[in-house]
Amino acid sequence: MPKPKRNKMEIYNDILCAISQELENGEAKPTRVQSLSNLAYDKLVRYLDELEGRNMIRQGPLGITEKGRDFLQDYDRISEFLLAMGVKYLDVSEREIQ
Amino acid sequence: MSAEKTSYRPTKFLDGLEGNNHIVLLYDNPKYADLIIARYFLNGLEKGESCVFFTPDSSELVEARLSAQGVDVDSYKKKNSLRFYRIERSDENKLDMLGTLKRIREEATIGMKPPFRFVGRTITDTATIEGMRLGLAVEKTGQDHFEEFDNSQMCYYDISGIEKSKRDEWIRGLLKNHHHVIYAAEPDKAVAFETMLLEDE
Repeated sequence: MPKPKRNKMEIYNDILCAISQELENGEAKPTRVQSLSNLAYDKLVRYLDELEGRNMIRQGPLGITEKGRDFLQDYDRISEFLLAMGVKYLDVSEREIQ
Repeated sequence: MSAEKTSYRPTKFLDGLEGNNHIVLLYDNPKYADLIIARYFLNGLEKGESCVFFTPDSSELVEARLSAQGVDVDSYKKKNSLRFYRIERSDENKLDMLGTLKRIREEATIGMKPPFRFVGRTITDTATIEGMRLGLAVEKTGQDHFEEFDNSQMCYYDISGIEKSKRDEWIRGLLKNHHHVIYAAEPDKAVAFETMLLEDE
């Protein structure tokens, strides 16, 4: 079975949830976050840099910022909105709306 | 409403935005749209930006709605930092999209100081498939040339009255052609986020 494709929002959520879960046990280690978020290590590193650039996490040691916590709080609501609007990806083709 | 103004999620999102942004505001209750539009303008006006509201409706109506949300419309109009620009309701003369966008921007800001912040949209018809198609094409043109325009813009759409059969594709098209989306609704449903979050892995 191929792995279901995730959009960036789902990946961000998976990483932030993994960090949050690990922080409850004391420390968020990248290898554990990698395993919990189901990402190759190089991709995890790229996403961690991206999340840090967006001020959603801190690295060394891994932690979640207020903006990251806001995202986690909003995630379910955004998912419900996208479901209601029939949107998951932005791969809209030119033939649509014809 | 005053408590919502401080804890309402889209408001916090708007307050955190920096630089030029192309935002799509979706709503089905005008009360929440007014709240967001007023906040968006106030954020710019307080930083010394010039703001223009594009509307096919009478400006008195729009001014009253902004005033009700705490914008001192008369004072900002006197300072020439807030203006209401009437756009044609007919979309027939808007087929040269880039030319139309440039002409309207130029006309609407005569005598005003940059940076500019706009609210409104060029195409008024969202109740027919033809209008939706034209509207999306204009939004795409606006997004493709966004850097050239050098301003911030919020485009607003009442999604309660749009043509139903193409709604999902149309909304996806709108999201694809803006940097951010705000769904202004009741506090437990309202969302605001960067549309790049919907790019795939």
